[in-house]
Order: sequence, then structure tokens, then C-alpha cells
Amino acid sequence: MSRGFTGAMMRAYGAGEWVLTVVSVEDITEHYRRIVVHAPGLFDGTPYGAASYLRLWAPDPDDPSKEYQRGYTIAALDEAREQMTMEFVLHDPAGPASTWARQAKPGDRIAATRWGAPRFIAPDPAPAGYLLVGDPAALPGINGILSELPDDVPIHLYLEFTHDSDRTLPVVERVGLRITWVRRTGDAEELMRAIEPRDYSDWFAWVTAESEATKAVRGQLKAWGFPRSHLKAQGYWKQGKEMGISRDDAPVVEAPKQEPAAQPAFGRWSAASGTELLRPLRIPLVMAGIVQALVSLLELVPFILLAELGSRLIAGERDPSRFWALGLTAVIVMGVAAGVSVLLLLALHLMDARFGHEVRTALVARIGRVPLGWFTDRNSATVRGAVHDDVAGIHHLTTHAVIDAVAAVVTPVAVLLYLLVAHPGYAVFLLFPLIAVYVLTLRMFNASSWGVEVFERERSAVASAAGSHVEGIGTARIYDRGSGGRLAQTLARRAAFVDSWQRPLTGIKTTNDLATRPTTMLVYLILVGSPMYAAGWLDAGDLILFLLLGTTLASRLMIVAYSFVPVREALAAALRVARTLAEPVLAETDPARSLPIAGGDGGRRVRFESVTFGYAPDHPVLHDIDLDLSPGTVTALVGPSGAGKSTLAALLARFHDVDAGRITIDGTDIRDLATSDLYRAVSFVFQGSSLVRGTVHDNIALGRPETTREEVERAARAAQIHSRISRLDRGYDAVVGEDAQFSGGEAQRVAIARAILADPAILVLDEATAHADPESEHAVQAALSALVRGRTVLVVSHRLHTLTGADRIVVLDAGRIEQVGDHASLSVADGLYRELWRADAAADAAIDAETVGR
Amino acid sequence: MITFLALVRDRGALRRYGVETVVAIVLRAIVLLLVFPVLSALFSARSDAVHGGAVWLWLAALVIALAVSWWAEKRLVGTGFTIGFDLLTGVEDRVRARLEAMPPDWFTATRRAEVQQTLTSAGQEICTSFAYVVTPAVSAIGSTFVVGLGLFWVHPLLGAVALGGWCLVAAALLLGGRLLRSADTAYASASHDAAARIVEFTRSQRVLRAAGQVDSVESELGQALRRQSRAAVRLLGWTVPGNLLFTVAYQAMLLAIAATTVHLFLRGELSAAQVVALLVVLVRFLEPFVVLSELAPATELLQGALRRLSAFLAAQVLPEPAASAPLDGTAPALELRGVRFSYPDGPTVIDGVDLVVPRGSMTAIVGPSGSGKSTLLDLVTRVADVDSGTIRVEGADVRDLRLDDLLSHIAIVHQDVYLFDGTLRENVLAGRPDASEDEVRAACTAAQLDSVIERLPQGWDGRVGEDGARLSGGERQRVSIARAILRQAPLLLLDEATSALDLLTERGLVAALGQHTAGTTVVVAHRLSTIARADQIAFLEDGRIVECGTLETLLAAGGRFADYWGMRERAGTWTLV
Repeated sequence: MSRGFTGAMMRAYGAGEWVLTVVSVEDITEHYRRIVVHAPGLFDGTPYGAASYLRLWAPDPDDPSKEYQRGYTIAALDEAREQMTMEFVLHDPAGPASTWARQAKPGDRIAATRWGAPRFIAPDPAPAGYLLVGDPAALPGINGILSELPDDVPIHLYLEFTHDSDRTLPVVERVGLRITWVRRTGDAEELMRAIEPRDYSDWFAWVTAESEATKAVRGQLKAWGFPRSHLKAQGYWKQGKEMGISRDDAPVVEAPKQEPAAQPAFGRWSAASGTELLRPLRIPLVMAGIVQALVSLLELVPFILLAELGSRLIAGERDPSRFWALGLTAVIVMGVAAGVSVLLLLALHLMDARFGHEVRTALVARIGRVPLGWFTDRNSATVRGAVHDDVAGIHHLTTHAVIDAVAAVVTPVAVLLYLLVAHPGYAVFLLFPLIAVYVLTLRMFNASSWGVEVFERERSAVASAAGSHVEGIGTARIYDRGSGGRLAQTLARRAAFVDSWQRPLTGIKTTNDLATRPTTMLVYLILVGSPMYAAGWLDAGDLILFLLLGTTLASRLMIVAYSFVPVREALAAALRVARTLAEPVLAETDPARSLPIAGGDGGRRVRFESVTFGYAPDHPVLHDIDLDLSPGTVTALVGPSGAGKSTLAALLARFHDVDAGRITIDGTDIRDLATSDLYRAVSFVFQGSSLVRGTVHDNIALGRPETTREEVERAARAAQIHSRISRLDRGYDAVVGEDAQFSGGEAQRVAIARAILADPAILVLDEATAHADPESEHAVQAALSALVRGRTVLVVSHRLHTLTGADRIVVLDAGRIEQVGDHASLSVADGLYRELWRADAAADAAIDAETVGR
Repeated sequence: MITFLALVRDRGALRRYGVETVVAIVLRAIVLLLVFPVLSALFSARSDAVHGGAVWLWLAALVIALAVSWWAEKRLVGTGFTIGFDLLTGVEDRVRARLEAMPPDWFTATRRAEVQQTLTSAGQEICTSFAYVVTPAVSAIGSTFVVGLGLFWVHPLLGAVALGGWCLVAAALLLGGRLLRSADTAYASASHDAAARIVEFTRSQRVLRAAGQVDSVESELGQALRRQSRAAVRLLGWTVPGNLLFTVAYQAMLLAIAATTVHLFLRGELSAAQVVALLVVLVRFLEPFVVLSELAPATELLQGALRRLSAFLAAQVLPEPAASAPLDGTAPALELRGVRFSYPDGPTVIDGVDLVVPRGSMTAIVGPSGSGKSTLLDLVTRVADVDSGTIRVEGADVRDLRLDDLLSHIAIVHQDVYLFDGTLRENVLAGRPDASEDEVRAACTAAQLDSVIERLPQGWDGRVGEDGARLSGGERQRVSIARAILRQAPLLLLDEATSALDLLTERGLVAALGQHTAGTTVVVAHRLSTIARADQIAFLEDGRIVECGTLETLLAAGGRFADYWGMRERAGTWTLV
């Protein structure tokens, strides 16, 4: 069976081969056939996913002794029965695979090759939307992707069709999926023109149509600004070239002949921001690369001089002064190379120190300006990662990664070129080991790649099991003991996998290592060179030159591929930093307005005017809220969880800015206020930690650093926390977290003392007693009662009975105001409040019954 | 590393590894040394026809030696992997067994992270490094040294220069590595400080902004960052020599060796052909050091893993007897006599507690926070050991029981419930892994988990998310209670186990716990409804039991407990305005 060069190479790479047996054949339409095959060997632990494919060896319809390779997506898997489903478009005229499928019947067999574990992996972070473009041939892959995409993400699918029946082909149903069918006319640009021009910011595009159509679409999307990381394009078949080769063998990812004229970008991709961040480093790094290339060349000179020495010796040279001249040249060259290296390193480190400083400063500036609502746990972890690891990643890029990669590439290329010029006939023999290295590397890749993903899964399973075991050691030491325990089993499973994956690899890895070792190359070059030298085709000087320089070629080439890994990692780190730096900040008006002097009673009026807000576009959490907080009154926000109570309260503190409408204090939009003015007027007490590093005094006087100890103490007394602070060894000078350890309720009272001292006209309380420990709950309550007096208060609490005295109770449900009134009227009116009140009262009754019952 | 070889259980493999290492090293050296006669014969061939035949003989020997050396090295790496894998499982078993015997107090936040990292990667790093780092490194250094010895056979002066150079390059490699490491450590700690300040700044944003203090803190932070940046520049004094030392030493050695051969040639002790052959051999001679310098980062990883591992294995474990003391079926379920405890260098937490918990009864421990309630339960489960006094479970001192026996006697529900990242079912089953499906379901129903199971997309087999993140606090407590119910342990400890539940659910659960656990219950609680159920209430203050009795007697006595009760009742009826 002849499979030509492709087949030979696939085998050399170590691609596995299996025989598939047809189990059933089903026609979905007259032009689309589904074939189920039995493929026991393919279920060997290799992870398959969306768009995973096999290469089928389809016989040439005209010459059955020839086989052609065609990629086909695995449409479905049945692990229990070891069966796979594949779908075939019955093209006309048909290529070999299509012809095979047309005639396939149960019991037929076909060979398949699998190489590595290709599959669709959703980019991280998740794209804002997906643009999928294809035709029936790409449908299995697209269906696989559709079923893996997360919910609530917009998906635009463009499908080309030839026959009307194509439109009945099953497409996975998704919320947010919009399908556009495009009739295939033979004009390669038809599909491209169908795609709606719109804002595709941070979208991901997957284009797998006919080769020419794919090219056109790809060119269009590139012109619209899709970065390489967010655009995967691959022609799945080729019109009119049914005997041509498909998929990887015909890389159709070249630019179309006529690049569309420059068009405005249709969106912004944060994936591009990493390069943006590094732009100032670009020219210096390119220059550093050039200098490093020169240094690498200089470092080869001593070997050339050694070869020169050897050839003179063989030629019968005896004059010592000639030898010393050679030595002196070598010393000078080495000295120059070392000197330039020193200067290069110094320059790079200085540049890096400055750049790292700029990045950190920019991060800090950004952190101080983004909306407070941005600081979720996840984003805080991102900041931690950015400042700890990612800035270090950029450090590695600037100081080492780039010049190391340049050295890794320049040296072998220079050696190869030099030797080719020195003696082309001999140098040709260098190419054979290099091809061997290439094949060996691919072979190793194939042998290890299938396991990388499984290993990563096992590793994170161990990390998670170990993490939860140690985090919950108090629980785990009781509930997870012995070799049958959860942790032990997770570890054992990983160990078994590492063994099955790595043990066979040691052989391949060692062969690679041995084959590329300089000694091996040396022996090879001697074997080849000796007869040539003996026959007089090669002179001593050239032979020595090859034996000195050519020997390291293979081992140097081996590391070329690895030398770019640090560069890629560093670029990924830069991207993460850039993303943080690109976070939108709260807009500030310039010049900011200041609040007018408050009215006679010192109270201020707050108005929410048609406020609409959502955390994600098109998903409002609050709809059109109108609310008026009169000076000096208490307004309570109640409602079921998820109603938007906390979000509404947070808007007043400018955790986020409203999407529509506005919030005013005494008539001024809070977005127009200077931040300092806003926070002088508004204080908030939330549940959870609210202490910063520093002394207790500094924590209470945080907003007013000039405050005297007396005033601080007065506030602490009012907040019921003074006596607790007095019991600390260093009293108000104790440092929080070091010699002052506060319980939740105590920390809360410190925060209340801070609010009392700040003396704001407006106060926001969000579940302010929720984290109080039981015996200090009463004290927190007393402190709050002292705080709210005479202020405009907005309070959120799920304990309805604490709010019965509020001037106004606003009942929220699903982001809308349902009811407004006071307790007396609401508790008797039909509606949500009465339901909530009854549930709360039931809880109260329970406690009474228990207590009284004894 | 040597100490870790002691962890290898397959001693045969270890011996084989030793022999194979020596064989591989010698063969590798022989291959390189054979290049010398081949080339010197080749280069004299044209001038002297006598050598013509010798070239091909030597060449054949060279090729055979190469083939044998390949075979030996492949075997060696295979054995290396076997040992590495043995170490992997050995290390993991040791670490895991040790975790069970450690006092939980040992696990500070830093140590937790280290242990997690050790379990996640140490074993695997040690395993793969054995095959891909240690073995090639040993083989590289060893063979180079043997080649150096072999050169004495060519000429003593040459051997001396070669071995001298070996030492010089090895020293440069070590020193350069050390300089770079110091520079890296200093750089890392400088940037770590800056990073910690930024993280702190991030964490405090809400508070800082509310206080209008962002700008002033930011400018202060800016100064700290400038200091860090200057510190990074000062480190250049170490970085530059660290980066260049090896290259310079290596090149100096090449020069020295070339000079020596030329010198010997000029004195007529070596022929021109021999000198040229030697140059080719000698250039390769030091090359394994380049491999070593490339392995340096992997060596760092390995050393870090070994350091963490030995720190962990060296830590103190709780003392255990060889066999458990017998339990006395007639003794009280739990008995504390004169128990005192303080944390190392800390104040006294438990200051003389006497308490008898009769079988089948429910005892509530009540008191303000910091009074030592949870510590008392910790002493029962040997999270820590008492300083003086005794804690007896059914008559046996907890320290006279095997940890496995003591802990299987107890079911516990903590306030901060810890759920494993697995399915809901797995989490409940952890209570008693051999429980039947029906028993698990019954425990879930009793813990009022049915509605939760209905809500999870995959129900019963739905993952609860890491640390139970997909469940609310109350739901997590219910899972933890189901786990405790399933355990059917004679002694049930509840440490504020229902704090996150609403009152209605709590009432149902406390009743369920009473029904499903026929044993003895000790509960730390704030909820009045829970306290009111207890047969006995112990009021703890400053590490002492100040009052103990039934609810009626304590309320009637009008003491500390009665005050506490009144305060809790008032808190329940407070209104904001």
C-alpha cells in the first residue's frame, strides 16, 4: 500500500495506527452520511474533545494500491462500546474519503492514524463571544465546540450550504446561538460578505470552511482586528481539488492575494494588550538581540582558531611565534566577547529595573482608580499574581529569555552556514543527523503529548485534594485517614499514571539525548570524514574544523525549541499584567465639583434617579430605580437574596457607576464630585473585615489623620469598643493583626468608631451586624444605634425585626422596587413584605417556643 | 539526596543502579578516549602508510564502544526511573502517614502551602529528576573525571592540566551558581516585599477610599517601590559575575589545554597528529559541564523539593502508644480532671477544668469568645495535648489511645465546615467509607439535605466545588452534620455546628442529631434554643468553668450565665431605630 512521503513521515514520527471497522451507516440527508465505527485501540486514555480528529487512509478510487490521508472529526464517542461516530459530506465530484464513505457498509475496514491529541480548547480568559464559520464538513467539529461553550455567551454561527437539505442537518441547540445559513455560490467571498460587521471586542473566531472561503473570511477578520490568539482558521476541504490533500498537509493559512484595504478595527482585544505593554522594550530588546548575536559569533572564533592551529600543525608548521600569535588573537576575541556580555547584561538589568518600577507604579495607580466592585476574590488574586509572579516573568524576559533565545538560534545557524561554505560536500552529511533530530523530537512530542493533559488533570486533582486536606486538617485528620482515604487514593492514581506515561518515555528521551550528544556526532563525523580525508577529498584543516564545530550542532538544535518556552511564558505574564492595567477606571470629572454646604439640620438628601445597573452588559441587576432619601431619615432595603439590595447600597458608595440614570447628593451627581468630597459626605459599614495595617488609633482616625487621641477615644467609647482597646497591652498604639487581635464583632465596632469620628451626613449600613460574635452582638447593636442618630441612613439587613422602626421600608425584588411604606402599613398589606415578615416572625416564634417550653 | 536514597524500598534496584552508573561512566569515557588513537592514526596516515590499517581497527573499536555505551546508559536511565518511581510512592506514603500524626496546630498558613506543594510536586519532581537530572549529571561529571585520568596515559602533564581544569570549571560552575542564586534570592525578597505592599494596598481599597486616603498611601507605596527598584540595581554586582564566571573559566581552560599541547609538541614529546587529535578530544572533554550548567534550574527545583520534604519529615508528631489502652464500658463518656493548657509562649487558655459528661447525655459549653470553648474540644481530639490534668474517654486517657482508635470513636462538626472538592455523596461518605447507599441517604435526609440535593444540577453526585463554594454556609453545615450522623460514633462533638442555619432548620437538625446519634453529645453553642436542650450547661470564662448545672438552676441562680442569657435575649429583640 503506497502512502507516499506523508505516510512515511507519519510513521517515522511515531504516529499510532489503528484499524476501524464500520458498525453502522446512516444517511442524515442524501448528501450527509453518519458512520459509526468500532475502534477499540483508540480508547487508550487519550483525551478527546471538541474537534478532535483522526486521519483516515482512504483508498484512491482509481488506483486502490494508493491511499490518501484525510482528517475527520470525531463527532461522538461511546466509550462503553468503544465506538466512534464520524460524519461525511458526500461531495460531488468526490474525493477518496467521500467515495469510501459513499460505498461504506457494516464490516468495512479503514486505517486511521492519530497523532498527538488535537482538540478545541477554549481560550482563557473566556472570550466575550464566539464567531463560528463553516459548512457541513465542519459541522461535527462545530457541534462539538457548541456543546462545550459556557452558557450565556453570544455565539454567531455562519454555515454555508450547497443543497437545501443541508439546512436540516442537526446543529446543537444553545441559548444565545444565532445561525445564519449562506448559500454556496462558487464565489469564495460569498461567506465572507455574509458576516455581519459589528463590534467583536474580545470575541473568538473559529473558521473551518472550504479552503478558499476560509482564506477570505480569515483575511476579513484579520482586517477587523482579530488577533492571532483569537482567530483559528483552517480550510477543511478544497473545491475542485478532490485529490488534493487536506487539513495539516495543506496549510491554507496564508494571506489572501488582495488584503482588504485598511478598515476601521471592529473591536478591541485585550489579548493584544501584552504586546502593547512591552512596546517600549521592543527596540532595546531588538538591539540587545543583535549585540547578543555578535557575541555568539565571537564565541565561535576560538574554535575556528583551534582548527587553524590544527591545520598548521598538520602542515608542518614549527615556528612558536606563529602559535603564540594565534593564542593572543583567541585571548583578545574572548576578552572582547566577555566585555560586551558584561555591558549587555548591565544595560538590560538597568532597563529592566526601570521598566519593572514603571509597571508596578502603573499597577498601583490603576488599583487606586478602578471601581471598588472590581475587587472580588478572583481579581485580588489576579493582582497578587501580577505583582508577585508576572512582574518577575517580565524581568526574566528582559534580562535573560530574549538573549538566551537569540544565542540558541544564532549559534547553530552560524555554524551550519560557516561549515557549508567551508566544505559543502562534507557539510551535506550534517543534514542527516539533523533530520534524525527533527524526527526524534516529533516522536518524543507524540509520545508525551497525549499524557500532558491527563497529567495536568491528575496534578490538579492532587493539588486540590492536598490543598483541601491541609486546609481542613482539623476535619481531614478525622475523616480522611489511612491508605484507603481520599488523599491516599488520589496520590496512588497519579503515581500509577506517571508510571504508565513516563516509563516508556525514558527510552525515547534517552535515545534523543544519546543521539544528539556531541560525542555521538563526533564519532559520526569521524566515520564519514575519515574515508573522505583518506581519499584526499577533504583537507586536514576542514576535517578539524568540522570535528570541533559540527559536533555540537545537534545538541544545540535540540534546545532551540525549548529556548522559546521562557519567552512565551514571559509574554503570557506580560499579557496578564496588561489586562490588569487595562481595567476601566472610575471616571472623574475635571474639575470636580464640591458639595454645597449642608442644610440647617446638617442632613443631606440622596436621590436615585432612574438608576439601571448590571455587572455584565445586557444583564441588569437593577432596573430603573427611583428613590429619594430625605435628610435625617432611615430607609431600609429589604427583599429576598439576589434582589439587588447590596448592589443598590454599593452604588451610593460608588463601588460601581450606574449604567443609566444618576445618583445625586443634594442635587449633585456623585460622579461629578471629587472622591474626597464624596467620602466625606458618605460613610459605610459593611459586613466583614474593614481593618487596615497600622495601629488601632490609625484605624479609627483613618479618614482624619490629624485627630487627637481624645477624639479617637470619644468615638471608641460611643462605639462600645474603648474598654476592649484599653485592655490591650499597648492600648490605642497596638498594631492590628500583631498585638491587637479583634473578633468579628470587635472589628466591626472599630469600623463603627471610625464612622462616628468621620461624622458623615449620609451613612450606608450593609448587614452591619452579620459578622458580630454572639456576646458582642449586643454591643455592636448599641454602637450602631449611637451612629445612626441624625443622619441620612440607607440600611440593608435580612433581619426584618431590627428594621421595624425605619422611616421607610423599600422592598426590592429582582432588581425592581416592589413596595414602599413603613412597617405598620406594609405588614398588613398583601405583598412580598408580609411574606418576608411572616417567615422572619416564624423564626422569632421558634426561639420563643424553645425558651418558654423549658 | 543521600538521605533520601534511604527511602528507596527496592534495595536490589539501588545496588544495580550503583553498578550501572560506574559501568556507564567508564564506557562513556572510553568512547571519548578512543577518539585520540583514531584521529592520531588518521592524521599520520597520509605521511606514514603503516598507520593506514590501524585507523580502521581503532575506528571499529570506537563504534563498538559507542554502541556498548549506549546500551549501558539506556539501562542506567531505566533503573534510575525505577528508583525514582519507588521514591515517588515512598515519599508520598511517608508524607501522608505523617500528616495524620501531626498536631493540626503545626499547620501555619506558610506550612500549609509548603505541605500542599510537597504533596503536589515533591514526589513527582524527585521521581523525574532521578531519571532526567541526577542520572545525567552523575554520568556527565563522572565520565569527565575518568577522561581526565585517562589523559595521564597520554602524557602526565596533560593529565595534570586536564584535572586542574576540571576542578577550575567545576568551581566556577558552583560559585557562579551560588552568586546567581544569592542574587535571585535577594531580588525575589526585594520584589516580594514590594508585592506584599501592593497586595495589602489592594486588599484595603474599600477602607482606604472610604477614608479618602488612597493618594497618601499610594505616594508612600511609590517610595517603597523606588527603594525596591534601587535594590534590584545594586544586585548587579552579583548577577554579572554569576552569569559570566562559567563561560570565562571554560574558555580559559580551552586556552590552557591548547597551550599545553602545543608546548608538548614544541618540546617534541607529542607528534603533530597527536596534538590535533588531542585538541579534538579535549574540546569535548569539558563539555559535560555545559550540560550541568543547563541542568542547574532543574537541580534548584529538586533541592527546593528536598528541603521542604526534610523540614516536614523532621517536624514533631504527636506521641502515640504502641497499642491502645482498653475502654471501660462503665466509665463516663468523657471526663476532664484538672485540665490546664496554654499555647507555646501564650497566655493560659484552659486553667483547671473539671467536667464529667455522663453517657448518653448532652452537655452544652457556653461562654464569651476567647473563653476557651473550642480549645476544650481540641484537647479531646488531641489537636493539642494538655499541659497538666487528664482527659479520659470511657476511662482511657486520650494519650494512651492510638490516634486512629481515638478519632474513630469521635464524630465532630466544626463551625468552619470543611468540605472536600468532590461530590456531595463523597463528602458525606467520608464519615464512614464502608456505609451502605441506604445509610448515606438516610443520613442526608436526617440532615435536611434533600432539598439541597434536588437543587444541585447533578444532585447527589453534584460537585460541591472547592471548599464547598457552591453551597451556602448553612448547607455546608448540613453536609457536615450528615457526615457526623453517618459516622455513628459514640461521642459527638459540635463546635458551633449550627451557627449558619436559620432557626427553623436548626431546630429540626438538633432534633435529628438527637435521634440519629444515640451516643453522648458535647456542644459549643450560642443559640439559646440549642443551649436550652442540654442536660447540663457549663459556663466557661477565662479558661475556667464558673457555673455548671441545668438551665433552670442556672437561671434561678442569677449568676454569669443568667446575665449572658438575658443579654442574648435582648440582642434578639433589638431594633436599629
